[in-house]
Amino acid sequence: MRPDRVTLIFSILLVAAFTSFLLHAWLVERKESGPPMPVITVGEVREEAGGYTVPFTLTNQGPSTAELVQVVASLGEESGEQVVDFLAFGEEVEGAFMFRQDPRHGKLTVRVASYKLP
Amino acid sequence: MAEHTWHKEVCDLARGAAGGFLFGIPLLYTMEVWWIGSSAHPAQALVALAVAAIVVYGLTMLNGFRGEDKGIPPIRESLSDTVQALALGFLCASAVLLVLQEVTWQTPFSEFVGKAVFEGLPFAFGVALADAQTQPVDNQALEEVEHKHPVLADLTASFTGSVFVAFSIAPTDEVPMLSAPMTPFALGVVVATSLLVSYLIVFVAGFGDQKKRKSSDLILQQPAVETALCYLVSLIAAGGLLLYFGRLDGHDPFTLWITQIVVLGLPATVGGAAGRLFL
Repeated sequence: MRPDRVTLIFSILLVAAFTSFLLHAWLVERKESGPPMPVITVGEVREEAGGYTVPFTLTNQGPSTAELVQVVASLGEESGEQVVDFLAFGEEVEGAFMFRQDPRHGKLTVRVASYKLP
Repeated sequence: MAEHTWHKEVCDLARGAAGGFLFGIPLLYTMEVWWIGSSAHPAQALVALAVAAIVVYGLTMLNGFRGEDKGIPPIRESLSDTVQALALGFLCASAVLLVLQEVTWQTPFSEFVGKAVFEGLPFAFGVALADAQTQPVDNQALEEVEHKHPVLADLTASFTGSVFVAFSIAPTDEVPMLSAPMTPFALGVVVATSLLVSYLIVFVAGFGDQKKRKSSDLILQQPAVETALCYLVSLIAAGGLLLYFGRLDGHDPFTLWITQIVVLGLPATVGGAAGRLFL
């Protein structure tokens, strides 16, 4: 087969795959539209650098994108805040908060405080 | 009609990819485009794809990437070149997004497709404009332009081209953003990609004085040596620009210097390769 035909067939398949995926996503999204749903999962506390580190994973379980997702954490008098610029559908972002006190012996709260729609 | 051989096909695709890199690389270093790609509604991406396909069709009718000047090609040929330009745009943009770790194996597929489409479309314009951007130069005319110091001329052109392309990228936040998660392996991949793209533009794509370059007797102008030497010059240009814009200073750790220079070195190398051909 002529080389240009081979590359043409490959190109058609690639462009068709992209187009079909977008069409499929569009049809599914029409059925499942809704707001973003940023969810926090807190990991195991680690003792390091003279303090305590609390890792977290932020996942968007909603069908749309969130911007400027604000994650806040508090432990007694200590508090921390992080802003994730951009969180697409299904995207995961990892981070950590650091405290002087041991979070295992206090009331630790980690939550999403706000986000903005694109 | 030109004979269709694998060598010609590879050269044509390389020329298209080189045109895509020259046109599309600045947008690959623009975080707003990543975000548009991630958040775009599928319908938006489909409309962008449809409109871009029409534009690319028009460009392949007038220019194209196959280096053949035979007037307006038949509709069927333009259509197949359009599909190939789009596919090449998606492939090259996806590859660079992967190399820069803006897309990883953890990225949701829908986000990957959005990014590949919005970054790939300007790439496809570059592919369709490859001949116009980098018209193969008449070798006879080039032979008349002899530099007394060809290696020095190459290095100067490489430096100028690197500065020209990297100047608008160096002061942006994208360089430290892309550098931050880079592992030594990922940096190695960026270096290899930079060298490959540079070689592709200067020695494979069939632009400018490629034949003359390949037949040069000078050791420093041998393809591999010249590519490595000019990459070094592009890295120096990238480092200089990062210093100039205060993105790096003497207090920063050595690893930060290396990662940022290598990351900015990719677009600088594309500029450097273009500089060697056209300056």
